[in-house]
Amino acid sequence: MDRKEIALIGNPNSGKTTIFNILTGSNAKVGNWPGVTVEKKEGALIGHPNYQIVDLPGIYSLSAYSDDEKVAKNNLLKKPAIVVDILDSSNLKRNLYLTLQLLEMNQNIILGLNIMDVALKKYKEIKLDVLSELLNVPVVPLVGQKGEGTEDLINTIVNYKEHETVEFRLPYGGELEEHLKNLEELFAEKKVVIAGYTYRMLAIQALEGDEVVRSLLKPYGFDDFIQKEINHLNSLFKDDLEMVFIEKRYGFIEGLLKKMLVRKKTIENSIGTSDKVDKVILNPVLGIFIFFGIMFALFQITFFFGDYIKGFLELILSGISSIITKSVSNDILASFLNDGVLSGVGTIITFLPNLILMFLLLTFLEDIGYMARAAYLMDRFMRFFGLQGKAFIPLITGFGCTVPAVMSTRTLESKSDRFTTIFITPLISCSARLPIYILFISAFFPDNRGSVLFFVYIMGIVLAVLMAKIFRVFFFKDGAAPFVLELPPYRIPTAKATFLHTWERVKEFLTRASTLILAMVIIIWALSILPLGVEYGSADSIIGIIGSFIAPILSPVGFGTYEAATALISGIVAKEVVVSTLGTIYGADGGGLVNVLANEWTRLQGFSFMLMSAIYVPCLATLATIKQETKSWKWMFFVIAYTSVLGYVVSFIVYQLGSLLGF
Amino acid sequence: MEKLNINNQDILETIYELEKNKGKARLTDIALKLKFSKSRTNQEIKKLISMGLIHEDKYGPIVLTKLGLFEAERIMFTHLLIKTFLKSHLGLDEAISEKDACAIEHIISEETIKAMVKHLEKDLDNIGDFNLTEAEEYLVKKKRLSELKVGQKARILKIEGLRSIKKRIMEFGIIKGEIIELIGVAPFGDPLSYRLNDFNLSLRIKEADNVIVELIEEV
Repeated sequence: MDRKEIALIGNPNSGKTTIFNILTGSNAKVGNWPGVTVEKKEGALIGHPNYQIVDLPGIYSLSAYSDDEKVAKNNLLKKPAIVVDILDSSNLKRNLYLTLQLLEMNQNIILGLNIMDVALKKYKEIKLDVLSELLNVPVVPLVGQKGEGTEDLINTIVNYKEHETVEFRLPYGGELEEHLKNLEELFAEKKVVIAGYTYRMLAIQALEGDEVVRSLLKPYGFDDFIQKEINHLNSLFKDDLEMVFIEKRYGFIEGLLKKMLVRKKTIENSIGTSDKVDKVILNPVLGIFIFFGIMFALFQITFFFGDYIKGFLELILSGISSIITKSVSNDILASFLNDGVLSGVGTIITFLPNLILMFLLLTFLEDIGYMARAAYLMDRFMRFFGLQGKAFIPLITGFGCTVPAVMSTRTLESKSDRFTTIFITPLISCSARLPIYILFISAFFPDNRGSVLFFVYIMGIVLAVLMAKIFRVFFFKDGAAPFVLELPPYRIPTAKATFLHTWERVKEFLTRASTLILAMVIIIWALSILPLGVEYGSADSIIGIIGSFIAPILSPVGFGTYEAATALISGIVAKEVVVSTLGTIYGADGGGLVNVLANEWTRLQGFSFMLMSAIYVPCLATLATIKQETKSWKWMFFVIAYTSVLGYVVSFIVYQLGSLLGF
Repeated sequence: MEKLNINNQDILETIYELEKNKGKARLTDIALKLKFSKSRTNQEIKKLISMGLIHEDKYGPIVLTKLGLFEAERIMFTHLLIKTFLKSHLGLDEAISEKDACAIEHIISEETIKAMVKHLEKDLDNIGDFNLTEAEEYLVKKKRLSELKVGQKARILKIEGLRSIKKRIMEFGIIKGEIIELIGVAPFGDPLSYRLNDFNLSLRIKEADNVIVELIEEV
């Protein structure tokens, strides 16, 4: 039997993901749509392996403005065998808009009316048979959260017969309908053939001014004619024609709803539970306190709780490491296992507790409906950064660890918001940089510990704001994207859905980013041990040679020594390694290292070095995550380049100005 | 919406009058009428363009956008209302009424406007050809969506502004005839949250500015 592709589509917050999980029995493969950073999920229909369910992005319309919409539209043009459209039955008017667009794309549709339980409390009666008859499509009532109706949906999919249906034609009426018909006849006459499009679709989208359709029709030479038609109709309706189409569609929906909904006689004027909760959560004063409370809890659970597990894992790893040292007699093999493999695996594993907790909490907040509220509350504030409200969470997470912070940018829909946030997140000082700050502050600023530390953190934030503005101006100019955000009703997610969603993310990190991290760590290890026979990471190793080579370049910023350069290079593995490398090189640690530094370096050199290590190249794990999230080596190298330059510039200014002023 | 200052209002009013009397408004005419220097006028014009209230083609006349026309008409009706009030109720002569109306129109509060309308309603014979109903429509009922107060409901009349933004908000269900209610204001005064049909949504002031609504009175 041949495989059938079933596309799943629906508005955001229509419960589509839950339905997808039920239909595929949570055996989804998570990937990406080619060329864009939109997540793609697919899986076989449970019990029917020849049906492949593809989860299209949650969208409100098929206008093809955002990446999400483009992905959905392009996929529909390939004409999947069946399109299952999931609707929130308690919010039919807006949800049906997408349905109409699907029907106008001549798709084989099954309507899944989800969240029926809420809808049935709202209305006296919902006549599904009327809806089914008027639109000529099968309709299945669902309560996804309780799994009700999904059996029925699966049966409807399996028994779906591609019948010779009459093309759905929304009657636009009057002059508009006439012009549409004329265009259709013209296309038929000139024998226009464009794969995936019917004449009706072409006519509608041409008049709507759809650029793709316009360019597809260009070779046939209708362009001037179509433009004339648009101009004529624009002046007739005294409005942009595409807006007329939107109004007509909503008009049609209004008619549909009148026929299928029986409203309750007494309109319940009581405010819904969700709105009551919002009175508190979205209160301008209380809301901010609650928001920071939630963020604080998120941060505490992720990092403090996570760090306990992390410490435990590190203990196990060091146990394994000492076993290797004892039992493997070959030095190079032991070093490879310890400093290469184990350190690489260790880097990955120690990120996991934070990552899992972070995603568990973020998924929960997203599913319950709080993320949209957080974006709403923080939007005005985040505009100082040239970003929107949702970017707050990645930035605050960045104080703990940059890796989950970069991954949490997925909640940002627009590519420009998301990439800008990814690029500036490494500038926020993560917790791994704290040991460096503590070492240098203890050595050079023992009397002003607090204020110097505070300065370093604030500098990171200020640089992040500045760079966000610069990236906005140079790379991502589409700042005009409207901020139309749905505030969905609060819904308690099922534990299963939350865990599943978290697991998908973690699995992705393990399979993709982790291999890259491991490879990078082994490369650095090789550089540290080669040529054979040198002491690990010493001046004679390749890394030491690179260090000596780079050292003169670092003279203008105050620390043109092999020691400083090597420490910075090895710090790319993980920021805290800067401290241990300095320790190895100077043959001291703890208080001893503080004394050595205080004697060997000047205060200005130390300060300049500390600022450099706060800004320069993020750690390997972050780089691998950036590569994974942007789907591009180019952007990863861009981050390496810009952070290096920025670190150099800041240290240069501080050191030169400091020297000039006689510090 | 960003509050229009006196200069903004004067320029909108001038363009409106020039368009009505001369057919089009040119920079030189505006400058002349307001006794502004050309460069100052140019600066003010740029501000209004960035607010989406006027539109200027290269070397062409300056044209009010639909939102600009809405604002200009509001100012004009405010002017006429005050002038009529001064003439009919305080017995002032034409010249003084005109001059004072020009000054008062910029700073008058909505409450005073409402009180004046109420007062004039009692004395319809005395207001000449001033169309009080239309003025009330413009000054009390019609608003931009961003100007609603929390708890106020309104019927959507028109959606203006940039094509892409207009399309986005219309596809979301913000279309002519729908009832929309402001339910909250975010910290720092922006964005705003609304209830529309069966769901809640949030818009920035900049986007809500593009929607013209008509207040509906609670029964």
